[in-house]
Amino acid sequence: MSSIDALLNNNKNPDHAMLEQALSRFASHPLFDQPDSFYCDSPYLRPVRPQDLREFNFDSVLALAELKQPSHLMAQRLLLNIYEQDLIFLPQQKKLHLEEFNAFYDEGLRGAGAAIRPMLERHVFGWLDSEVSVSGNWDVDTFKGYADEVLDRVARTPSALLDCIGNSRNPANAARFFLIQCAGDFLSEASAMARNVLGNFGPAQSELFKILIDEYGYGVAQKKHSVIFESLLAECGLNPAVHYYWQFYTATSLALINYFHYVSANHRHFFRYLGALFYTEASLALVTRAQAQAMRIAFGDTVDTLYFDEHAHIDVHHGKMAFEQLIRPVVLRYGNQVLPDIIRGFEEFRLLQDVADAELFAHVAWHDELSQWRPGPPPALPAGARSHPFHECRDDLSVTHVHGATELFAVDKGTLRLVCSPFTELNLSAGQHVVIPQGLLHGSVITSDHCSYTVTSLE
Amino acid sequence: MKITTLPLDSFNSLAVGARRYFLLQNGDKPVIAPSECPHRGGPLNLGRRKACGAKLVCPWHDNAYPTQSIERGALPAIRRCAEISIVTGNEDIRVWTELLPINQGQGACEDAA
Ligand code: FES
Ligand SMILES: [Fe+2]
Ligand SMILES: [Fe+2]
Repeated sequence: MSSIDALLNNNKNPDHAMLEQALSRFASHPLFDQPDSFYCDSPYLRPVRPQDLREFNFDSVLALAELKQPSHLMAQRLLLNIYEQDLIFLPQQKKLHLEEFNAFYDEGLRGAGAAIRPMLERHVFGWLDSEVSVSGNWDVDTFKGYADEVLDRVARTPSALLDCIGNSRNPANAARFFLIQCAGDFLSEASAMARNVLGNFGPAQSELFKILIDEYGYGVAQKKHSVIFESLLAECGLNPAVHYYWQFYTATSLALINYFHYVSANHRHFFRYLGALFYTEASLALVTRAQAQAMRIAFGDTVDTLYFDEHAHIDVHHGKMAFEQLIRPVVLRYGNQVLPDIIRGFEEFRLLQDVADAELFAHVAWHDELSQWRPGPPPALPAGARSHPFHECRDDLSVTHVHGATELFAVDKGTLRLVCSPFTELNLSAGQHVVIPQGLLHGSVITSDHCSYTVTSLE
Repeated sequence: MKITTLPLDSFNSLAVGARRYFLLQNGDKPVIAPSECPHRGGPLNLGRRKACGAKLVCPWHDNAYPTQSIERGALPAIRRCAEISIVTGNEDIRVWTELLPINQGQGACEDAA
């Protein structure tokens, strides 16, 4: 039995050292280590910043209020890499590097990922246990009544996304940043769903299969939702390659993708999956109209919004199918005992979606602020503020990351480029600074032979 | 059908039409439990905890009810962070706060050694 197998078979009392080893083995894999660009040219290159590992304790459970912590982002990146080793990715435009392909799907790497997965899942999703609970005497119609009311509220609430994009100083770039947040999911849309169609669970299985068929375009490539989304990205001036913008996914955007893998890869959570599926399909039918409208505000009336229009149409059906053909018959057949998890999944995904929206809006607001950046005097430092100096050479690249506290980023010598989104970059030189708020993505690349900069916590 | 959403700390009792309920704090899973004891209608909301909170004891004849079985008669509810949503029929709903011994000193266990 390999050491990894031993771990898997004995996860009640995992040998901590072995877990650490698996974590470091997975995270430090060359595919996930230092890249030479902010953009990922291969579907297998997915940097996670293994140099930060030492600072994190994935053994703990993050609270809702701690999702801006850097360990959240790293754990979500690691998890997506682990889950997506189950999916097939081949480059569409670029050439295939077979050694990268072999390395990404390598058995040893998969084993290390499988060993650390439960710990990472607990770290990033454990908080849902304490923020969502379901009690009392539910039946399927009470749940329907509750869900109708929630969805009705979604339908009546003006779109915050539309406001965010419409009120941005640069609606096109705000819309592009939104599309990038969607891309991690939509470019391999419904992959987690496919994890749930195997096995044998009666008529409901065939109903889920029908939804999957719609998502995958009935075997017609141009109808596949991910293909329609690729066209939208290209039309909006974005690169449609899978995970090209990997470094610009926020932690909570990753959480949306990973949640579906989490409840789908672990079939113990199948009933939670059904609830989350219902929420996402039914709410997409309602919000995609505003999303199409946001695209028109950003890119003009001629932009082809087929991706969102298709969902505004088909997800009306998917929402109904998810409830009437999946949830209702499953509850009738297996009893109200399965309802709490279904309701929980519905509510959890709704909460995750709200949290992800808030994080997206915070990023767009910061990008807007940075577009007005002018050199100025640095803010006063709090007493006893801790500073970290860095000395780097030309082209040294710091993979995008977040900080758990708001920080002052000041260049002491040389020049560098601070990259906060593909459309928000600041060229800073000696004596210039910028304040980086807690939890907002940024990276840097050195543009002079030598550069020194200092990062000081403002909290 | 009616959905009522309340901050968890804003109430601990409610009446739905003529029926009374109380907020039974139960770790991360608050329960909107019926106040009426299934035995002779005693005030369960004034009961006490037993077996480290796993049971509720009615003050009238000391019958002890497992929280789980109380939950079966509880109103369907979802807690999301600091709010709870309750699903009821279309009856009038009244909420108020009263002193509930049941939720005092939750950690204390009367039959612990
Ligand atoms: S009325 Fe409650 S025990 Fe008798
Ligand atoms: Fe779709
Ligand atoms: Fe759909």
